[in-house]
Amino acid sequence: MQESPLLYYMRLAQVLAKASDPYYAKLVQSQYQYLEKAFAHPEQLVYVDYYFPTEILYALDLIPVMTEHCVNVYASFKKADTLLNLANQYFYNSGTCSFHKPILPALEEGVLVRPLAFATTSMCNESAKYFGVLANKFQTGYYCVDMPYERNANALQYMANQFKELASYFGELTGKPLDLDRLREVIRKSNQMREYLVQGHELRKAKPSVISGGQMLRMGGFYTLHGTDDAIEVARSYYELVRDRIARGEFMQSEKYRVVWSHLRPFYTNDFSEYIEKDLGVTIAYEETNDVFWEPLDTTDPFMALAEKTLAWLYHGDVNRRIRNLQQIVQDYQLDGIIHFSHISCRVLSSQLDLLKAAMRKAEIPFLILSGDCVDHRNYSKQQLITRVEAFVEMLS
Amino acid sequence: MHKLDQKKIMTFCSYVPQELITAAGMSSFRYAGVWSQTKNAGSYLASNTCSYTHCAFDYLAEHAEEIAGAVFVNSCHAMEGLYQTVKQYLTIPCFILDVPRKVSQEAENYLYQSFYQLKIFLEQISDTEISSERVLDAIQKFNRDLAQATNHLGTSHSRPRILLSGNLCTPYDIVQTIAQYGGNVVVQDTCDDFRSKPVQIEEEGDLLRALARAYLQKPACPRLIGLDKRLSEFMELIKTQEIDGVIFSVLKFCPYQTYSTLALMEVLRTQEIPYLFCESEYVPESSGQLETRIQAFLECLV
Repeated sequence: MQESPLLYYMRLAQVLAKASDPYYAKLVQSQYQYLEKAFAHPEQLVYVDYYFPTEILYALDLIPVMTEHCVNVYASFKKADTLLNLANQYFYNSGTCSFHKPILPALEEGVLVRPLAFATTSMCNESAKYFGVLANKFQTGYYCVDMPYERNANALQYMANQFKELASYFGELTGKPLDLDRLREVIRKSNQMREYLVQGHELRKAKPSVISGGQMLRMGGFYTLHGTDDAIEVARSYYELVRDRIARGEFMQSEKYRVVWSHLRPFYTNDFSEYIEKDLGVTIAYEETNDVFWEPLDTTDPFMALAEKTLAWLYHGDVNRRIRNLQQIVQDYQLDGIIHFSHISCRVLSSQLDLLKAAMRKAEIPFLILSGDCVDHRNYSKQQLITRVEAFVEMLS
Repeated sequence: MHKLDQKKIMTFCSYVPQELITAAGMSSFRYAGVWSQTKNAGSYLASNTCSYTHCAFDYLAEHAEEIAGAVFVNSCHAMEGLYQTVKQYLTIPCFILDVPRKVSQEAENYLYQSFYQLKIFLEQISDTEISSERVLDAIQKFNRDLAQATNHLGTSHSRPRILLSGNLCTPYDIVQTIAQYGGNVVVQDTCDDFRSKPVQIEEEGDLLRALARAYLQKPACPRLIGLDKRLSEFMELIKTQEIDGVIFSVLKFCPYQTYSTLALMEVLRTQEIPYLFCESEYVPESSGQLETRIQAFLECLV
C-alpha cells in the first residue's frame, strides 16, 4: 500500500525541526512517531479536533491524531491548496473553515487513513458536525462530547457523564474496557506536563524575552499529546531551555516592544513572525494558544477532571473570561499590546472578536487584528499584513 | 409606552418553550427577518457570520423599546456571539437558553435545568410568578391548538413535488420562485416550518420535565449531534410525500447546514433522487442566477 504523503511531509518536518530548539524538535519527532504508529494501526486511530482532551483516548490504548494539525503540516509545505481544490467539489464557496474542508478529500485520496473513529467536542461547531458526517460516510465510530454554554455544576456533571459514556463506547468498539487506574496514571502524566509548562511560562515573564514566540506558535498540535511521556519531555525541554537561557543571560537583543499573540498564525510561512520579532523588534513574549488555562486534574474523579479541563477553554462561552485572562497576561508579562490573528473562516473566535476589541479599547490596551488564512497560502497578503503591523508599532512608539 | 407594558419576548429558535412564555403572561415573537440590508450590524458582528444574525441585531437595535426581553439559544457560534453583543450594547433584558445537542436522559436532565433558569428569567421580567397551574394552562392550550391544526404537509398532487430544505426560508421568495417555474413545494424542511413542528406535551407530573422531554423530541435540528434522527426524518418525508426532487437552500456561513447537507445529498444520490444545492444570503428576492438554476433543475424533473 502506498505511503500517505502526510507521513512523508511529517518525516521531512522532523528532519527540518532538528535545527530548531530541542523542545520543538522533540515535539515534531513525537508527532511523527504517533502518526506513523496510528497509520500502521488504524484499529487504534481516532481523529480528534483541536479541543479534545486526549488523556481518555491514551488510557483506552488508542492513538489520537488531530486533523487540524495534519492540515497544518500540509500548509507548512504549501501543499494545502491541492486538498482545498478537491474540497471545492463539496463545499463550493461556503465559507467553511480551511482547517476542516480538506479532511474529506484527504480521506478519499489516502492522505489520511480510514480510522477506527472520530472524537470531538461541540466546542467547534464545524468539527462537531463534520466528524459525524465523515463517520457516517466512512462507516467509522463517532463520539461528540456536547459542551454546554454555561460553566456550572450541572454543566460539569453533564459533561463528566458524557466522558464516562465515551469510555464505554470505545470500550465496546475495541473490546477493551477502560481501566480507571490507567486513566488516573495518564492524568498524572498530564499534570506533570502541566507543571513544567506553568514553570516555563512563569519564567518567560522576564524582560527581555529569551524565547521566540513566533517559534512557540508552532506548538499547535501539542494539545493532542497531553497525557503522554512525550508531552512531559517536550514541556520539560521547554522549561529547561527558558531556565538555562535566563541563567546565561541570552535575552532577545532585538526586543523593543512586547506583545501577546492571540489565536493562531499562518502555518505556511515563518518569515512573517520573524520579521515582526527581528526586524520590527516586537517580541511575541507569550502566546494565548500555549496558555495553561486549566487547573491540575483531580485523579480521584477522572471524568469530572476531564469535564473541568474541557469546559475551562477560554474560547468557549462567556467572552469575559477570555477578556480577563488576556488582560491579566498583558499585566503579568508587562506587555505593550496584543496581536490577534483572525483566521478568516473561524467562527469560534470571530464571533467574539468585536467584544474583545471593545474591551481592550476600554482598558487602553493596544489591540491589532490581522485577518488571514492560516492554511491557504494563496490567501496570504504579506505586505498588507506587514503594513498593518508597522502601523501598530508606530502607534506603540 | 413604558417598556414593562410591552409583553413581547423575542425568540430566534423553536427550542424556546412557548408554553413558559405564555405562562408568564407574555407573548413570543419569533424573529423571521425584516428582509432588508443590514445597517449597523457589520460594525458589531463578524463578517463571516450569517446574515440572519446581522439582520436580527439591526432589528433589535431599532426596536429595543418595544421588546420586553429576548431569549436566545446556544444554537451556534454566531447566535452566541449575537447574544453577547446584544447584552453588551443594547438595553434589552437577555437570556441564553442552554439547549443540549443530544437526545438522551442526560440531555433531558440538563434541558430541565435550563428551562428552570428560563422560568426564573421570565418571572423577573414579567413580575409574574409562573405557577404550575399557569404552566398547565399554557400546555393545555398549545396541545389543543396542535390537535386542531391541519396537517401542514402538502396534499397537492401537482408535480414535480419538491422538498425544500435549509435554514429559514431563504431567499424569502424561494417558494414562489419554485412555483413560478412549475415546482410544487409540498414540504419545507426548514427551521420555520417542519422543524418548528410543535409536539404534544404531557399534562401530568413535573411539567418542566414534560416540556424538556417533548422539546428534545422535536424534528432534528442540524445542530443535533449525530445523523440518525435527521436522516430518518428526512427520508421519511421523501417517502411519505412522494418527493420528485429536493432543493437545498442553505444560508451562507452556516456550518451545521453545510455539513449536514453533505450527508443528505449522499443519501439522495444512493436513492437516485435529484437535488439542487443553492447557497444564499438572507435576502428578500431570489437572484437571477438562482432563478435560472431552479428553472433548469425543474425542467430536468419534468
